[in-house]
Amino acid sequence: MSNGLPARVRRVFRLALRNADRSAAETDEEMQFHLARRTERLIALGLSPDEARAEALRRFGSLPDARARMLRAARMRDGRLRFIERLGGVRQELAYTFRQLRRSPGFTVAVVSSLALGIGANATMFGIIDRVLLRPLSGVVDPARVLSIGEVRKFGGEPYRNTALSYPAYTDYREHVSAFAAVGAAESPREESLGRGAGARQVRVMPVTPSYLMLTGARAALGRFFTPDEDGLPSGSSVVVVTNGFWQRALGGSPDALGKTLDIGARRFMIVGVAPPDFTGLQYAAVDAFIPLSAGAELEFGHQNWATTRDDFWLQIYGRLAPTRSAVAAETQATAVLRAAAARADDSTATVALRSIASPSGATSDPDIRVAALLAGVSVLVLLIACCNVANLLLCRAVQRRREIAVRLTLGIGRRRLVAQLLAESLVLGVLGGAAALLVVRCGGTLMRRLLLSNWAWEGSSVDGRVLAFTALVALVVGVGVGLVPALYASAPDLSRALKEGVREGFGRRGRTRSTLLLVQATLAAVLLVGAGLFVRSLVNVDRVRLGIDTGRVLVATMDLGQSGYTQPQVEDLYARMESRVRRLGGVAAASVGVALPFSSSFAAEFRIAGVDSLPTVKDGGPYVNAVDDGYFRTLGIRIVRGRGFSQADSATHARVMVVSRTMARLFWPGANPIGQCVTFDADSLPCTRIIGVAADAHRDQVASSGDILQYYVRLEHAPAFMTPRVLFVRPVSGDAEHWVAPVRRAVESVAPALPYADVRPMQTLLEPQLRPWKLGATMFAIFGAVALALAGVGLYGVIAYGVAQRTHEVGVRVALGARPSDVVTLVVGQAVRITIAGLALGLVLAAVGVRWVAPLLYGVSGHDPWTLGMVCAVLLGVALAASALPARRAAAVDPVRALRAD
Amino acid sequence: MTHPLAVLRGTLDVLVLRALVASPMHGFEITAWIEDRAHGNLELEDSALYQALYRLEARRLVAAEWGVTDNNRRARYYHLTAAGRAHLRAETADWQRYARTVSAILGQPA
Repeated sequence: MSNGLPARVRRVFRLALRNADRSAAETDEEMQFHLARRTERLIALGLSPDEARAEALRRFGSLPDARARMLRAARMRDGRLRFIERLGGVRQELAYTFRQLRRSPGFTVAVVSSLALGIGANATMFGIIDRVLLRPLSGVVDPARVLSIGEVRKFGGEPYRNTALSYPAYTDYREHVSAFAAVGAAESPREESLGRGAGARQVRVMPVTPSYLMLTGARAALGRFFTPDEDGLPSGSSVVVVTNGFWQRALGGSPDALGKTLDIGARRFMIVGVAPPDFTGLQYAAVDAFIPLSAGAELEFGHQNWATTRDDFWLQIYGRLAPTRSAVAAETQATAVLRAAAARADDSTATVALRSIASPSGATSDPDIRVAALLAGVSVLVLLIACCNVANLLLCRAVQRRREIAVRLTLGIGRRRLVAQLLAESLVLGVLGGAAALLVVRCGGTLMRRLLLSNWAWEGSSVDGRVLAFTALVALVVGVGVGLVPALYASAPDLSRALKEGVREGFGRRGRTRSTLLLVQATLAAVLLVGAGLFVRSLVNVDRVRLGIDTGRVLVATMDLGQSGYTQPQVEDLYARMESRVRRLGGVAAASVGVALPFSSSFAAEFRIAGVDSLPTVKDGGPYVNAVDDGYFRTLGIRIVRGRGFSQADSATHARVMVVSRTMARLFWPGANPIGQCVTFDADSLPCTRIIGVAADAHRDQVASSGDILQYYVRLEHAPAFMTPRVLFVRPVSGDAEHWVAPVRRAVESVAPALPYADVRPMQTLLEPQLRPWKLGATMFAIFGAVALALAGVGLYGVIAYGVAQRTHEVGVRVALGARPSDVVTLVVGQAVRITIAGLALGLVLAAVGVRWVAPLLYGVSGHDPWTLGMVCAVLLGVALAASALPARRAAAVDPVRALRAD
Repeated sequence: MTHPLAVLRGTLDVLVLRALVASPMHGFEITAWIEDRAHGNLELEDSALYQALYRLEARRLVAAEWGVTDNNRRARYYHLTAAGRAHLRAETADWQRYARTVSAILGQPA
């Protein structure tokens, strides 16, 4: 009886499983059978039929309840068996899918790598956008009630919200806005030297008021945050709270770190606390340590009037709303405070605009982030292209498998099952692509963080839970999405004709579907290439901006002497000694000491020309002044275009002479020779300063400014009293400036061994933050563009080659009827070129529409730059020709006799 | 005769599996098989046996099919699966070890 049971059992199961009523009926039948047998047995033992029946029922259990329990158990059994059966089905389906994929490794690799690139690009960008725009600031409690304070004034008729405010503004808001439970202020993170001498390096320090850390709602992970009296005027206490990242990296994550000291700038700070993981305050930029605001101000300004002046704008101010108070109430109060203070003439109409730190708009003003957000949008295009590619490959595959599918249909496999199978295949491909995408994210994300967005605080891996979830979601959606087209095709009712027809196929409906997919690919690739072209052009333009200074060949050295106790003459003497020491280094062509550091600091002084009432001005502002010694123009490579630069003779005679920029000469003395003109500075008592030369315009601050610079140079010994800082410029004869950093630092430090860290760096690094958005855009657009181009090219090749293979018969007929090989080539290549031209046309239209999002991020290139558009057309057409060349040759070589016999 | 004992829930499953070792049986045969060997010492509601059978079926320790009795009546026959056999072996060993241990402890002089 047990022989052959499984098949029969299975069949019984299926019957029972299909129908709940049937299952109940069978349970009842089983119960009745049992009661009947029991009754028979009892009668055989001598009971009367009635007694036996009653006894049987008693032994069975109280009937309605017992039956209900049995039915429930039967239902559970059926449910569970059904589940097991389905699971088995899925497993079978997956095994089948994997077998199929292993059989065509080329196809699988093409699909998985396409998806990996597309999904990976998106997940990478998601990880970055998520961190800087979407995710709430780490550790901040109830961020919606924390508001940044901005003062809105009108400039040239346009309202402008300024968030860099003065210290007195902070105390005003803190004391007079009762709608705030707490008000805190902070300076943006800035670099300070850490340690002394050879082991010295740089840390990113953020000066904050104790209330700033308190109002975040975060608690120190170890130790404590600051107490209010640690931020006392004028110089605060020497205490520091380190971030978790710094604690792990620099202090080994040891609890012993508390109580240890850090030499930051010229001061020694004691570590009193460690911030919780990922905590960077109310902003996203990387930070290593928090110090009291007054201590930070002292490091930066010395004992100046930073706490009382309303003219220094250096603080970000935040308030946390008191319970039950609204932002509107706080705004009204703060506006009243602003107007009462009347720091500026037009403040009677100024207003305060509060903005929640929970809204992402705060970070979008950063050009890095705007480029990253743009790139996130662009990565979606890459994914779309990848999807088109994969859908096309799947479609080709489905067409190739028509016979197999038709056979399976005739063998009685349901259409639903078939569609499920095809979807399972694309889903498996999607999941494999998603897994491979994680590798892309790991490499790409890490690279982007390090090279292109190094300014932001990144802790932890680039693949975190949220990125993982995002990747999984995209992989599933893409898996189902790309599978739909071929699945619908395969389930089309005319498929069974395939058996009779054979596999030949013209360019019918499926051909159109594939052409459409190709068209979409070509269109999107064109859009991406336009973007890439525009950004590369911008970067090239920025790089080519004639700064007037050889930034690539100069090093700058500064030393933070704020707390050294040096008097100004001692500082000047130290720099003079540093300069002569550096000059003695072999291979140094020139060295010079100046006051203003281009791209970092600028100075302006009251300035009059006899007989001129209003001085002309330019967009860049000015005129700006720098005080420099003899070697300055030679060291920085600033050309003297007229007259002469400073000389030793001037030093010997202490001559009051100056050099002006070309723009200044042109605007201030139009049509006249500036040489020999006399200029008077603020104190009338001094003799006038005579112009001896005109220098080429040298950029002062923004790389992307117009290049019209109003600037003049006086001799270092005549520097106005407020121009206290000094910078040493060094120009090596040759070689990479980077290689000279260490020798120059050693030389500088040998002059004054006990002093703090000497900051020596190639001048080019001062430009990096300004160049970064263009670099980021150009690099990422170029990568995305290359990926898009490769995908589009491979897709085009695949479809054309496939089409040629399918049309061998047709080509044979044509050749037999007298077509020449060149006609055949034209036929094949023409198809690829037609699709590409259509895609280009659509793509250029789309790019023209989309360029307005990109335009503000470009430099020196219009969104409709003909050079870029021309290049894009050439490149895409080139790819189309290359992709169709091989299939065209194959088609031209078709032997009509063989082709016609083949079927 | 002492009063009959209520059957512990897990025990019933093992008894059912044991009943099916020799040959497939329908529900009533299993009941009768256990009753014959319990000599009236076990008290068992018949419906509980069916719930146990369905439970075992869901765990795929037994499988069932409709068959015909000697008297030509339709009945649902249960048989052990390979998993059921293995489960029975393991449970039996555990049960015996448990019973020996408890008996040994209870059998010690106070």
